[in-house]
Amino acid sequence: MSALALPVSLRPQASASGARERALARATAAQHRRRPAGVILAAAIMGLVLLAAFAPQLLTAADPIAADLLAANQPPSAAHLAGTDYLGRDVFCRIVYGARYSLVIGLTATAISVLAGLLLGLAAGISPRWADSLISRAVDVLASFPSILLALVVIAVAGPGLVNLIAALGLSGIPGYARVVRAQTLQVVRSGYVEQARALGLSRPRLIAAHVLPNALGVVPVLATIGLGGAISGAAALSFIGLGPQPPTPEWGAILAESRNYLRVAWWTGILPGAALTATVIASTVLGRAWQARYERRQP
Amino acid sequence: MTATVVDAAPIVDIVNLQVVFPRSDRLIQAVRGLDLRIGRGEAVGIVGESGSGKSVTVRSLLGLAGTGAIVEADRFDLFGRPALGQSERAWRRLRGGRIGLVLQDALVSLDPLRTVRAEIDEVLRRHRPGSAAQRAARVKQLLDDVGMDEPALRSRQRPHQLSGGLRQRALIASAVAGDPDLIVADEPTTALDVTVQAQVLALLAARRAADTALLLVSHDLAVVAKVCDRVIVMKDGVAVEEGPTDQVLAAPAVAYTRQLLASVPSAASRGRTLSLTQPQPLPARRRQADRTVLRAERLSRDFNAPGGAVCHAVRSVSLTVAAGETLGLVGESGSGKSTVAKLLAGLLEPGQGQVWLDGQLWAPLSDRGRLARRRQIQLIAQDPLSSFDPRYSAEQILAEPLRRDRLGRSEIARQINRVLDLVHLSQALLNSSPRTFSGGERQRLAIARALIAQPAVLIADEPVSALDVSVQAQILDLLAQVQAETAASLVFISHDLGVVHHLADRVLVMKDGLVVESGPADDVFRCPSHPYTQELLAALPQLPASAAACQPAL
Amino acid sequence: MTAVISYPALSSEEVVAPLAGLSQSAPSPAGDDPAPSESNQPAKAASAASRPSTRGWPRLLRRGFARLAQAAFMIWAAASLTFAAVQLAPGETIDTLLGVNANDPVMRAQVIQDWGLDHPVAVQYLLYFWRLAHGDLGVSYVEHRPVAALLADVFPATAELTLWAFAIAVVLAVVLAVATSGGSRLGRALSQAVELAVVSAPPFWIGMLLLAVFSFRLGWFPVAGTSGWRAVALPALAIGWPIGCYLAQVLREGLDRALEQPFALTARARGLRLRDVKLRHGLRHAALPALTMSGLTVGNLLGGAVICETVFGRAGLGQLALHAINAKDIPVILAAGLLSAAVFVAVTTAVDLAYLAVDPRLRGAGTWQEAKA
Repeated sequence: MSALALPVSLRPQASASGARERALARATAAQHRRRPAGVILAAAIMGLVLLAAFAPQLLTAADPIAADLLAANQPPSAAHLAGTDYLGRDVFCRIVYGARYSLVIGLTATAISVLAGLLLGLAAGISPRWADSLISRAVDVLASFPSILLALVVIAVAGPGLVNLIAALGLSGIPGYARVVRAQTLQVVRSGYVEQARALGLSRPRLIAAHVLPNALGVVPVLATIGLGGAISGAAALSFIGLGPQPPTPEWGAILAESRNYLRVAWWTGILPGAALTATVIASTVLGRAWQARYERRQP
Repeated sequence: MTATVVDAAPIVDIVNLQVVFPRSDRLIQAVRGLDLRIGRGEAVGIVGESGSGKSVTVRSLLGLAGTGAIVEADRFDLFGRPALGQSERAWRRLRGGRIGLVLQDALVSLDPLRTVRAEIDEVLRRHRPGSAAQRAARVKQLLDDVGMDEPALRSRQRPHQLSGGLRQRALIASAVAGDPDLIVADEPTTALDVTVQAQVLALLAARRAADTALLLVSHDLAVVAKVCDRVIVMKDGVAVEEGPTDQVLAAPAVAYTRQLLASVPSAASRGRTLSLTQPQPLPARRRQADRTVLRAERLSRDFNAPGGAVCHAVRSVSLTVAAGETLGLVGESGSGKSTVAKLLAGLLEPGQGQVWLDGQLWAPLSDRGRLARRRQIQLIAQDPLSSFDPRYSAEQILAEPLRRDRLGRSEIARQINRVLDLVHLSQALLNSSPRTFSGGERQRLAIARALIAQPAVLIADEPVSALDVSVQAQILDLLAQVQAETAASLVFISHDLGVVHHLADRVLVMKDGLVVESGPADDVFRCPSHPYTQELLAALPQLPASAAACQPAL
Repeated sequence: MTAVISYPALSSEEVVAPLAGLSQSAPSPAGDDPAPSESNQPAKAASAASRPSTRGWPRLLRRGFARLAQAAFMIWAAASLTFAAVQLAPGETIDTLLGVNANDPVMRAQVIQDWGLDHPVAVQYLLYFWRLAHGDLGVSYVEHRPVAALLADVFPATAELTLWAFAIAVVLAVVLAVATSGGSRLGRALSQAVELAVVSAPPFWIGMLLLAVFSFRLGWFPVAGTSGWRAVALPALAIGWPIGCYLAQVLREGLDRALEQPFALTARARGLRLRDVKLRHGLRHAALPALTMSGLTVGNLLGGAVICETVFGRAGLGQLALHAINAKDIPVILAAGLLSAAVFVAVTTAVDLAYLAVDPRLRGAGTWQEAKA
């Protein structure tokens, strides 16, 4: 296809439909929208969550734990942006303070999954066939426990608590990363450029260091960004059923669990924490996908 | 079918066709002012390189130019009626019923999950309704018509179960099932082996003889010449030349057509350049016939096919390459020629046999034992882009072979400039990624990388088969020139007999992993002794001019 | 990337070529991967000089058996893992198993006899499998009932819930994907935005929202309970909606990819409507990558059920397991985990076998050389 911007002289004399003019106008408009609004919004949400996690005092002056039974179950107002819960605690304040728990749990669990998955996947990808089979089968077995039930078993055996929650979440995320990294590694190992590098006389360690590692692992931070949302949401689910930080800790899942019994009288206590959670997951997904799109454009 | 009041009118009558694609930030004008007329029973060919707008043109005849395409014309009559802007219903009556479409490679142009019968039946149901039994009989009849050996069996099979030729026949059967007045074939023989190509062209010619009009689109002048009465040469969305096939090919009026014809490598073009308007003799090579650089003895290699079967990819292949010599390796797909390339390059261990490089054992050998000598043999791949690390700039790609030498920065730059000059690439490209390069530039970069290692032997596996004729001509000229300047030997692997005859001193013809014939190129191609070579040459479509001038009868 | 009941965002690695499907959810033991150094060559060469020794169906059967053997291995490994979990748990194994009743001497003796705790670990392991093989999942020392009976009581309710959720997911996915693939930009963008939001929202929160709107505000559905379609509708929707949206993304991508294939152009050139091309040609191709997501889907269905049973106060596997965790009733939790792993393996195995049957290309048999021979 000849890629020519259309000179005026070439426009047909009788463009009865005017379709071309409209298309040209659309194309010109599109030129100005390089970065979609969604990505900017997602980045803003992520920034806000980070701010809440590291400096909650900047966003709210209230205390997330202290009860004030006189102000229980008040709807959103100027004083309480998101209303108060059954103990009179400011819901907005609890959401803000909850960001730290969700983010820390999500990040550490993702880090465990990514690190272990990466090592396993890489080892499987560059190992001889028997070792690859061994690792892959082990990963399959781990994957055969639906993640929430794996987490249930881990917490049942090891006991509830923050550390075990993170461990359970991290464990259940390993197979996904391991499989992707293995597939990527195999793809690179079999690629034309690795073959070419062999023909240039690169030794095997050099080959792996110079070509396989950087190309196979480039996608990992991208996937981890997308996966972060899943880990945060998973942590909330486990907390929701009482396996995470215990009340009155302002963890998002725990907040939602407490609000469940008051939905009829105080709907706001159930809506807003969930919305914050969902927005965070969406934001990390959108950012991760935008990154992924950029990453894939750089691949042949 | 529909009314025949306008039977006298031509099937296609288009004046000043314009097709524009809106892209995210600009408009792309694929066709610019094309006139196209196809009379009843006429065979018209469109020839052009990639991006010439030929495919878009034929698709717009079916109202399927593409998503968002804007199609405009001063006149756009199909079967005597204005078709532009007609309803989708009207288009659907034409599609399959009056105009049949044949695309490239039936493996993907037929639904791979459905049987041949289901695919053909789909057309019948839409355009020639009848009872299930009638349609089944018709399917069998159609498969019979296109020369399928066992129609009943074939109709139950899926595309991947059929050979390339049978598959393409099935595709044609589905295109003609609606008994159309016009068959539109877009590169119907590309990617097929020459022998199969000949069969498919014969089939199209037969349909044409049965009074079906044909619009044949191809990048290959010889293919069009074989079937069409009239040919249109397209470039950048414009018809640069049009006329009776014989006339256009024998006495092209336009420089572009002349250039296109001159670019086609063949026996006639041996020893002269392809890419220049005025062909020049190629620079003399320093061939030392008595000094053998690469020698392979009785190489064999098996692969385990899925399901426990064993496939003998290469069987007892022996060859020698002398210093400065060009050895051509020809064969159809699956003949084992690419496996030979990898065995010679030391990227695959032979099952049996040995390879000697400069008198020293090269294979079988441990990877470690080969490391230091690796750069003596360099590979040029068909798809250069996939042979470059996607993170690397052109400069990094060229510097990689030098890494072992631990050279200073200025020495590396000097070496890079040397090979850039050799392959005529601009230094301005050094910092960009090859992804932004054109196909020709990428292949030049691949050649430059091979050369920077200062190899004794270059192995090129189908290095030009993904390129347009004019770019192919430039790369072939480049290879000849590089060889003259560096005295490297070249093992040139191709399915294209014309290319190999143009370039090679000696040739090996491979089939099913065996070498069936070998010898000096002129001898093998002018008087082939093995029936398979004879069959290959007979199937090769010839340009009338070159055939008359210098191709002696077989 | 999977993480507890949440859905991974659609990444192209997970939706790679349908042909890789078998090794996606669970690679076949033979390993479809040729050694790295032999990269793409065999496939190409195989099309020429191969002299295959076997014919179509036997090879398919062999792959089917291989897949079944693999499933058996997975079950064995999962069971061994649960056994190991008990052994490795901090503290004495017997205390772990007894939970809250650790001080009851009668039950201690009972546990030692049931689990063979006075024998070496190897004997305990064999005993464990001996009991498993006889359908004996152990005894809940909290409820004083066989675990199998406890599971049998609640399993139908969870099965009903997950099946309904699955049905909702499939219908939603197909409708959304077919309606919005290759169609108008606006409808597509809108659908994608909603899908992203629903996929990102935790199902238990969706459940809470549904409760708040349809039960509390509108009063159309009961707040809790296990009987009747009204009781199952909201929890099934809460689980099935996000899964449906996720599958819609996969299906749409598959449909778009199929519509770009030359065979779609061929089909349209036969005079088919775009809609018919999607339904008759595209959907089958799009279903293949969606099928490879079966493992994820099963995991999300079961995980979603566990959580949503809590939200809607439904009796079921989730309630049982949670109750067991609070009472430290380890045998029940292990059995619940094992049961879900078994369901997971059974479903993914069935899907892979179906895959072999659906996609003729995967049979790798009856290629034209054989037909010729």
